[in-house]
Amino acid sequence: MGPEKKSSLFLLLFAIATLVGSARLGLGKTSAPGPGFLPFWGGAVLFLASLIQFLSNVFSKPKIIEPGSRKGLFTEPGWRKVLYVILALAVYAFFFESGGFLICTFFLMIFLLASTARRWPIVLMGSLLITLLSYLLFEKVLTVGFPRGVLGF
Amino acid sequence: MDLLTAVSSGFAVAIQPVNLFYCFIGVFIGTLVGVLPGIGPVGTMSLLLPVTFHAPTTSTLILLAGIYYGSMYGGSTTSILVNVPGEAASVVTCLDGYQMMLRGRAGPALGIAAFGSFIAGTLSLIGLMLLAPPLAEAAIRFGPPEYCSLMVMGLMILFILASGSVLKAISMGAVGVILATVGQDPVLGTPRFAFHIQELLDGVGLVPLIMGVYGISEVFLNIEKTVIVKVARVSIKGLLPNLRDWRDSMKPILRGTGLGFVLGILPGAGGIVSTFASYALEKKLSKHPEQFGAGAIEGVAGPESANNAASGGAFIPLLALGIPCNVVMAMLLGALMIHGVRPSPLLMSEHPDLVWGLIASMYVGNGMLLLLNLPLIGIWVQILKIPPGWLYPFIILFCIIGVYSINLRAFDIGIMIFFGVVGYVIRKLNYEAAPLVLAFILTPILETNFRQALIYSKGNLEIFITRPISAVCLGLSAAILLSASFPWLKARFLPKGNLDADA
Repeated sequence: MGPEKKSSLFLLLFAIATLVGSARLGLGKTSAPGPGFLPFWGGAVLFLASLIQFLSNVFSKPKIIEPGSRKGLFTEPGWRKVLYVILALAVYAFFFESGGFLICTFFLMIFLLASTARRWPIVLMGSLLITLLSYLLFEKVLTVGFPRGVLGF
Repeated sequence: MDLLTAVSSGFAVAIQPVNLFYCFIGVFIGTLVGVLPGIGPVGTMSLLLPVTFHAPTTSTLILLAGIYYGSMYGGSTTSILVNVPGEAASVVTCLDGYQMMLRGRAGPALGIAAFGSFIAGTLSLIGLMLLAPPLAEAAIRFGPPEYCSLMVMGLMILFILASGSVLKAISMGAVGVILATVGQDPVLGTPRFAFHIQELLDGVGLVPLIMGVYGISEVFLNIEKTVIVKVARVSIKGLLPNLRDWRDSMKPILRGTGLGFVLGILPGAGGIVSTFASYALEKKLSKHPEQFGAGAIEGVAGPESANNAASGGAFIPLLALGIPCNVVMAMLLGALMIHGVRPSPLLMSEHPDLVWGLIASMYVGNGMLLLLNLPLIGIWVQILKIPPGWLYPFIILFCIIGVYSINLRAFDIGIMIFFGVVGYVIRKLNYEAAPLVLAFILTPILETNFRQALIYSKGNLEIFITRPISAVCLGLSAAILLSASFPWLKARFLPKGNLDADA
């Protein structure tokens, strides 16, 4: 199944889930629309649009794909790099409050800079500098209120 | 308030030191992101949105608008010097601008791009000043039914906004509607799609969504395919175009201004289409069309003027009706809402200082841009040498801090990352993010007014077609929907094929 079919199928399933969820919330009447009224119509439009897309993908003739013009999620050579960055950001968000801004940001910067610069002293110094400068600017000057975490400050 | 009084009060606001400062920062950052390929004005505006929370509303708008029109100026620099458009609206400038550079005429190309942008930007502001007030005055009679129909029209505009598949745009618009309903029901307070998550009861935040879809996803896309810009040694001499250059460029500048301004007002058309249309028009009218693509100055002057005029025209629907006609305007609308200003046809009468201060600041900003873009051209070229890999950690960190600072919740960082992934995936699969964001912004206004209109009419839906303005809006919505259904009509609005064939 190609990416076009997969994406339209995903949207179709999402639309069905929305329709069911909206109906459970209560659609109400035109004189008094319920909480599910608007999401229901949003889901209905999505259902129709994704169904047409899905069916047209199923019944259309397979296209001849020229080399280099293939569209999809994993067609670029750097997609693994993106996946690692997403995972790193997810870990960062998960530990942000318990670990604190300083520690989490320092490790995130090491990860991000290491993918660009090969020399470790530059990566470590750069990460330290970015973390401390952003901490001073946003915490001390602009008083954002970052989580303190394990370091306590 | 008559026009002259309004303009003078606007200038009184714009020349306040704090607003001059924000204006300068806006146009400076705008030029910077215009020069740098990879991050666009929308991504930058989303990045800076949280920074403006503590700033006055007028200063915030001045800053964000400065980024928008500043990026239109900056985008031409890389198109001319390195054949890499900094912005989508500068793609056409590559065709003749880069050829002029190869022939040793980089100076006049940069000069005419800057002067053309300045002239177009200034003229489009005059148009904005003349057109927006009467439109806003007519719109003052709007009640909930009119407002609701106007929002329906805004949602229909999403389909025209689509540069690709209309069905995909409709799908994304519908997803935006559904996402906007997450949280408590505005009338009954019933939780909707919150899945017992406390943080979701407040709904999906506008800032995490925009920053994710535009800021973070843009970083993901750029990480994936590393952009390498080779900056050749360029000697830029004679930035002031000579008399012949002016003679050749004046009419294209004026035509580009008119075309850009009109297309800018039209929903969805905006800067990109106006540049293609201007290029095609100039080539058609030229006595020497064979020179287009080989370094014709008209091929730089027309499109560069058109994209700047379009950015002025795009403000009319937002300031007069409270409707964003492109995603940049949606971002400004979002900023207004965050600052507690309800975008509506009453915006001009309720907040004259804000509207006229913004308009006046754009005159000031255009002057600043001329000074920034011509004498400092060497610095902008050097900026291209910064490896993009060094910028991404800063962008990501800025997004994280920005989004966290709103509610001091790590949950919002998670939401932003989620929408970063969503934005990355939908763009990879040729869906567009703009309909999703616009629908997300318009839906709460639509829902509230729809319910108010029904309470007012005691549940009678006829209210939407018996009131003339509402009926006109719904009629236009139907026309928009029909026009979007005919690909041949769309092809006429997007003369991409023509250009490809001509170039």
